[in-house]
Amino acid sequence: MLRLWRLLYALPLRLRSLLRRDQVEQELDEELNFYLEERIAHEIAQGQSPDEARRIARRALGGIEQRKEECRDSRGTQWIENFAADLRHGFRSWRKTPGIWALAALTLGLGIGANAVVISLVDKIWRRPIAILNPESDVVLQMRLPNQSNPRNNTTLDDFLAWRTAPAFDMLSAHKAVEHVIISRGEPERILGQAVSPAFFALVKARLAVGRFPLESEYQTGAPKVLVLSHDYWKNRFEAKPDVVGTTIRMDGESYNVIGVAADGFWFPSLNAKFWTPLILSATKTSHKEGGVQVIGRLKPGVTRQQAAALLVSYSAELERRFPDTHTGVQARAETLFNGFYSDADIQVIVLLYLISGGVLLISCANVANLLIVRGLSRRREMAIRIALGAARSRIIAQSLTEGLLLAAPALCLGILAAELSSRLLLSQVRVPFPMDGPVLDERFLVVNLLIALVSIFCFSLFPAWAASGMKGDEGPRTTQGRTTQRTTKSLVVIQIALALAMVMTAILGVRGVQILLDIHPGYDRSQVLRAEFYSSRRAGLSNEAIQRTHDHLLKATAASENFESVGLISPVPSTGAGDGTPTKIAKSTQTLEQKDSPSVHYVVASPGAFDTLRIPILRGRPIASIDTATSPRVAILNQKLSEELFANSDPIGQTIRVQALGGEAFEIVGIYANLQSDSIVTGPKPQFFVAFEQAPRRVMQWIGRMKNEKAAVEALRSIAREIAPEAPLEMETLSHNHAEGLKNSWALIYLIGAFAVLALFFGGCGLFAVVSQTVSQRMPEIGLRMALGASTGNIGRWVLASGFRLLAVGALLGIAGGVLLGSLLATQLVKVAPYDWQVILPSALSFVAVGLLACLAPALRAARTDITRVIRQD
Amino acid sequence: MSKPSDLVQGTLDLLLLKVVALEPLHAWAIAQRLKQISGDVLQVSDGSLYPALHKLEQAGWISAEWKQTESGRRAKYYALTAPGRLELNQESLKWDRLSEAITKVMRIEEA
Repeated sequence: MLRLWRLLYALPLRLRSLLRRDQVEQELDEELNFYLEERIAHEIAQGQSPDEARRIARRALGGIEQRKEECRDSRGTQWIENFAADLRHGFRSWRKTPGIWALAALTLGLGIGANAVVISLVDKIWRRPIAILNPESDVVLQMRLPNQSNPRNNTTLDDFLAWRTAPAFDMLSAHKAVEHVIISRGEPERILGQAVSPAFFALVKARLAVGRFPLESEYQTGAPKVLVLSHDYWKNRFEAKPDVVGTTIRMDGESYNVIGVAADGFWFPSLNAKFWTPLILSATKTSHKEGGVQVIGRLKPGVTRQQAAALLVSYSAELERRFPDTHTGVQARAETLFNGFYSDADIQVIVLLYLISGGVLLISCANVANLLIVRGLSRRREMAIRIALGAARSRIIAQSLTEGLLLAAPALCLGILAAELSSRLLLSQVRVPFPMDGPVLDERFLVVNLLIALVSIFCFSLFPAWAASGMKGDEGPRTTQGRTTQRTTKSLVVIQIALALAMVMTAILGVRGVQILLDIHPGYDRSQVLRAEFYSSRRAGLSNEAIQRTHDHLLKATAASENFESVGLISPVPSTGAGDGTPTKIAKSTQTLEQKDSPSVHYVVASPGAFDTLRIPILRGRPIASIDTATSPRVAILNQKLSEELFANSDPIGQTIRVQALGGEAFEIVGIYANLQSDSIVTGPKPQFFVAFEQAPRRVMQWIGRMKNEKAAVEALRSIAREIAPEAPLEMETLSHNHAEGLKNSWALIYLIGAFAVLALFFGGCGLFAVVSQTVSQRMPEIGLRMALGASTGNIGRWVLASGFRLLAVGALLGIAGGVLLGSLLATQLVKVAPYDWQVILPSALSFVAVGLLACLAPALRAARTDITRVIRQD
Repeated sequence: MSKPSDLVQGTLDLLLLKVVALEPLHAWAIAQRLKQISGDVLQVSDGSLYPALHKLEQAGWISAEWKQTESGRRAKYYALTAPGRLELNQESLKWDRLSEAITKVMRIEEA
């Protein structure tokens, strides 16, 4: 209270001393003068002569200016005045080195911006689904098969039912993607949804715009089917009419009651989910064995993830006993949300992005440090003089910090601007399955980056003052820089160059990787092939015969069409990301299938036209032909790899193999085809074989056709499909399109890394430039002396270039090592390029030689043009 | 006259407050008054008077006003503010306790 009361008196005074500074100063003057005169009068009255009196009075006061300064200090507004003076001084001193100022601000701004945007983006995209849940208490439960690369889809409903009894969880929910066909505006449309268990809506904190969630009874077998629509789908398909609740929707010929609509902004697990429907747990046993179930559990308070995991493992033995065919060797896991939602490959990309964006920030900070140190060196004399004149250490520090602020402010503005712009650009390139509402840029990361930048600027702004404090008064500008600072700036540049080179290498590696993916030959002719599928064939309700009829019709009609050279059915189309086929064990007729070491291979089902349409090269024998019917002897066409593995020493044609997945029946080998590219490019071609569609019919088949003219062919197929199955949605795309689409996100990643590499290259060049120019100015006397002793301009230029390239060489060696390290992180992502491939190292190194040449050229020229007389006059 | 004793550390503020508590005075008069009351024992140096007064003013303990002196000149008169009076009371109580304690210690008879 007392403090506030005092402020009532003090505040007007302070404002006055700020705003009416002249008047306050004049009053101070008047007051001191009055005192002095009174004192003089007093001394005269004591009997002193006027001169003596004046002298005594002045001595007693001990310097009017000092007293004034003390009075000013007591005002408490001095710091503002000092700050203003520092600002003015700062502006002046930056104006003397505008190049360094602009370069430092640009470097730091871009560094901050780039880093903030990537971290925000990574956080926004990857944490989005996790943010809906409780990261502290929620875990992802998984059943991993041994040696399975993608463990997420191996959890079955059987597992979920077993785990549901585990006492570790408050809530346990399962959801599974489902797809249905709906007739929308007269056209069949395939829509994706999620079948969810009772705890799902509570666990993901679902909210509704209208209606209700499913009742407990609606999760039972035989209950009327109900669904909750997503807000988007409701808006787009039902014009956001609230009375849609209570109506029925027909999907795949079944009626679903719409009981609710999700609130705007609710989505889980992705925007692709157009509806949620109860997962009927007491359904047929076979569906319980299917993988692809995602299980999320909320731990009871006090239960740790490790305890839950141990509990799950204890269930595995029982599961293994009950389901030996699907559960042999399984591993139950309780993963964190992050590890559960993302594969190791995803996490690798995330780590890589963090590393690279952190690297760019580091490079830019190092760059600023270098520039400031270099600048500080040239100001040591100024600092030394100020200290000698009695400037307080605190004032020098404050002044240096103010100068730093003048650099930080534009850098920060630039950083925010760069982050804002690049985030927009980036988002338009990446496909994200969630709504990206709100700004991408997370101000938290921006603030952290700004702090990092400020700290680094301030630290290195102090350098001139620090350097001067260790300097003796008689040291002038002629002294060369100290050994330690020289080492500091040089190692900073080396680090910069190394980091930048590592990044450039990674970028080139990435580009080469994607290029290779684009160029990868599938082993067949991808061009001009149209792929289509009736999604109704995935539906349970349709009889096998009906599907067979549809396929037959489609084949006949398209074969008759003049728009197609050839047509066929196949499942799956190799090298399209749909897998290499159905896994099975096979055995030569002389062996038994029960043998442990019988090889596990994949098989593809295809109709006679498939080989022609895809132009799969037949090496020996014949492809599947029309003579291979349901009643003729079973035939198989082996790829070269399988044939070599099975029949290394004998002729495979005419021999038989038995296929476990096809009832252990014997198949006669009638042909050998050239290896096709496997989906997992890392391992190269895998053993594979084809069987005839007629002899091993399958519900889900893809139609393929070699087109004569793309536009006409697509139209023709569409009209044929409408005729054959008007209520079945036909999805089609060309194989080339499928191939390019699959690489879209890879490209976005490469662009990002590439942009960073360019930044890094630029920063590295700046750093080198700063250090080499500094060396040149520091060594002017030496250069002058050398020239006086007869060194030619060429000699001097080469000498400067060599000093720059020595740094470049050390940096490059470290960088190549770093690049190989970083590249190996990427190697599993973008395969077939070894990070130590000369095709990667050479262009990276060359780009650095070019940048280094550019960076050293100006200083070298300056050194070569040294005017000896001027240098000598300086001494 | 012996050299005036140095002011006990930190007591200058207290003395200044006490002097201006009696009536508003300008700096010269304050110094003279202090000397006079203390019988020439306490003498504040010219150099430390002004910074001390300005500090007290900025702290809000005293306020200043320009007035005519008896000789008709303009001078800056310092007066105690209301919070300054509170502070003075508190500080003089503290001082009483301290000086009393010191006196007690000093009175101890040596054996």
